[in-house]
Amino acid sequence: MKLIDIVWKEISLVKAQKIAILLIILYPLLAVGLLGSSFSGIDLAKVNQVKIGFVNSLGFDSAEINNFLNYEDLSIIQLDSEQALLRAIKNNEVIVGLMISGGSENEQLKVNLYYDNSNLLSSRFFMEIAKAMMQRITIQIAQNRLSEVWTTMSLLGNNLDSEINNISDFKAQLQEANTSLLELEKKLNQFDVDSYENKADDFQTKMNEMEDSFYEAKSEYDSLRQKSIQYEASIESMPEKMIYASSALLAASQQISSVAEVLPEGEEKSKLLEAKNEIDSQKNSVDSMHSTVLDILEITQEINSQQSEINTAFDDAENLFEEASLGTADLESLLSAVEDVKTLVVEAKKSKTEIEEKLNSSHTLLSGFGEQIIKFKGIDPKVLAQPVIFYEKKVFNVDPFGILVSNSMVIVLVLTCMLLTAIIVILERNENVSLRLKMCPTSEQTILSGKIIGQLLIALLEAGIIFAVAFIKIPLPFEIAGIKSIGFGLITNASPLELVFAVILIALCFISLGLLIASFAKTQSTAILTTLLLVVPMLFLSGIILPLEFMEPTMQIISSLLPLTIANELLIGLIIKNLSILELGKEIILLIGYSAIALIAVNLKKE
Amino acid sequence: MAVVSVEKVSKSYGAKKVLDEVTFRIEQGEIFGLLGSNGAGKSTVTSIILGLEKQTSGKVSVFEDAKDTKKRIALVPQETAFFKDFTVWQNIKFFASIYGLKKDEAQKRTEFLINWLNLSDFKDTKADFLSGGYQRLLNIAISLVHNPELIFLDEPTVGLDPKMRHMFWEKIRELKKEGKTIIITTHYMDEAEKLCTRVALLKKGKLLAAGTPASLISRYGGIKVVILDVVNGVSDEDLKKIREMLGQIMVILKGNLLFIPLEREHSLEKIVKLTEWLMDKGYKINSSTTKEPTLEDVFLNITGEIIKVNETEEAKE
Repeated sequence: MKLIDIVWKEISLVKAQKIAILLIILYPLLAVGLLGSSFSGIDLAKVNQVKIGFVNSLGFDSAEINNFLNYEDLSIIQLDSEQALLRAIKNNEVIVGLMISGGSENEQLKVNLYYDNSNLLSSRFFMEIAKAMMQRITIQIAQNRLSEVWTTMSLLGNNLDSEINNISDFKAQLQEANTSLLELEKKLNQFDVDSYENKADDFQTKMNEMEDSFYEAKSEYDSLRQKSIQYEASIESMPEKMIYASSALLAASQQISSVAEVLPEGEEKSKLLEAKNEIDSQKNSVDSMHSTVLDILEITQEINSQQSEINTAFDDAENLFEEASLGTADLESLLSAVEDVKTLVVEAKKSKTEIEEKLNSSHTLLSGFGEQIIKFKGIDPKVLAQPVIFYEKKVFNVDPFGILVSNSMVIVLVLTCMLLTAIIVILERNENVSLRLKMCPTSEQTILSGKIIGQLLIALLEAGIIFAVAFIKIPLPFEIAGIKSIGFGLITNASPLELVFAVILIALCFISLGLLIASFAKTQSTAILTTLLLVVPMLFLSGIILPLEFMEPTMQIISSLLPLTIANELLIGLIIKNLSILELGKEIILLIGYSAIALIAVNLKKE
Repeated sequence: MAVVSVEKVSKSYGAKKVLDEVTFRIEQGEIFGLLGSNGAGKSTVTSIILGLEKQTSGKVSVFEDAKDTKKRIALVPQETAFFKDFTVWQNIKFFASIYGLKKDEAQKRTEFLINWLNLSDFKDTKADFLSGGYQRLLNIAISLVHNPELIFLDEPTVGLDPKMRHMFWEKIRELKKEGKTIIITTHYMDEAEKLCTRVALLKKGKLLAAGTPASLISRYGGIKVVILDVVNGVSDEDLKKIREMLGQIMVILKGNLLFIPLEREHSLEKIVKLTEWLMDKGYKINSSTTKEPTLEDVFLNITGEIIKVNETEEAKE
């Protein structure tokens, strides 16, 4: 009951202040509107070291890295992996990350450029600075490399064309020779040496056989001739003898028959008859032989009449055999020569192939070299101007408007919470109400709690307005001054509960600071001025207006400890970086710490 | 039964001593007046009794049982102490809640106070829009919301018109009748004389005198005083001569007024001669009056200061 009345009183008092109502309504709208329209980038010529994370996953030439390392405006932090790089960006250890993803010495380097887009200005500004610096370095590298190559290539290039022509001519000649060789080889291949050789061997064999047969036949002929001559001499008298024998046999047969006729039948007669038949048979044989001998004699006479021709034929055959023997030797010699030629052709082909391979290799090398020169000659000036291709990659996949929401929120909260709290406390003091509150039996803790809760509700109302404008998108039925919808429809993965918790923590911190200011300030105007005195520098040092990286290192440390910076980091962490509340423990502890310190100081001052 | 007991209470801020062994007791049902000029220590002793400040030494007790002291004490500050943007009703209701009254109780008490202090017509009016007098009434109403036993009234009628002032007096008397113990700090001696059952005179942190107004007047009020209204006053040199003429008596010049105590040895003849002397010197006397001793005189006699006229004038301004 008491608490509710105090809360209600707190809200009513704020509500009663026309300026407060204006502040509550206008601050969120002004902050969102002004921030949204004002920050389109800042052009500063010089900044302090830009922290760049470098992942050399492709083992890029260390000399190139050293070029980066030696660059004074860059602070290179080498990291092992893409994950480590992203983690470093999330933890604000680096603002830009480089990861070489491809490229060779003669090609444009392909570099993935990760940039921390959780800060409105650094999201583009530092990336462009880093990119420009690296382009400058890489252009220098490329220029140096090209100069060296160019010098070398120019010297070699002068002779290359003629050399290539010579080689081409030589190759043409070689080609012609090759063609001839191929034709010869073809012809040689068509000439079946083995077949002829075989045939020659067969012929030789047959000739030898024939020769042997011939001389054997001749020998036999000669022997037969001799025998024939002998037989001729022997049988020359045989017809007369055979006629005699036949007459004798016939006489014998007639005598036997005459005997037999006389003889009785019996054994002796049979034997005589058999002997007579035998004699008749012998007589017939002799008669037959007589005829044959007569034929033989006739043949012998004919042979004798052909002997000279036979001898001539023998002589011719012998001459032929001798000639055939000589021809075979010549053929073997020719075949051997053909084999030698074939061997020479094979060796020639082998040599030609080797030469051709060498020439091809030389030609390939020279052609490649020429191509390289042609390639260098043909390099597009764009490549010289842009040796590195950057692929920009946002680390956080968010609408940049989310950054404005965070910035707007902390600006609104710091101003309204601190100002309203201080103003209300001083108002109570000026109206002597604080004296009454001090005298009443309600504990100071209850009164303070009611005051803080009341202010927290106001802060939540303001946060609600900002979140509503940020997250809701209601299309308008008609367009008003280019506006087609109410709200921006921001999408975030942040948990609503975590956002509310963060807003409460931030508001609590600033309310506590407002109480602290009120405990020292005697009038409202003093409180307002004191608040502005704290808020304005905090605003400029918080990184909301100017990136922290523009500051000196010491100031960066101071800035990182300011409540406004911490509050902004907390909201950025939730809305943009998609971190959980547990991952933002440092910010939460610092905000609670500031609140506790301020409240303790308020209590001490009161004593 | 002593509601408030202050025994040898001293208070110093660094080397500066603002209260010096002040001792007094206030009984239940009393209207106790604390009188003194600025810097006399009235606010300091009040703050110590209220528990807003701690004494350097001495003993203060409020209520003998000392139970729920805050719920039984009320302060009606001289300056209004409420939310100017709240209505009369909202203000009273809020403080009723703060003082732990339950909803129904707070409702009834708020209605009672609004009626009792004639604020009915303004209960929905923002406090800031009330006239000064009604703002003071609202101030009282808020202070009395928890029906306290001991009430501190700090200059309760400063700046009020006579009618409103008399109404205030009447309300204070009603509270007394209810058995409330009231402590008033005031510059108005007549107010203290008429309202207070006892008064205490403070000067530079010291309690110079305490008692009923009548006893203090009797003891310290002195004799009658002749007051001459001299046009343009008298010069310091002539004032010195006048003191010589009248002997070693306290003749005080304040503005145009010349205060001459009328003691026994001062014959009327001497006053006539003085008048003649002044006129011979070229002074013009507008009027001549005789004044009976009052609490104001007591203050004057004890402190040697004529603060009332001056401070009252300042307050009126």
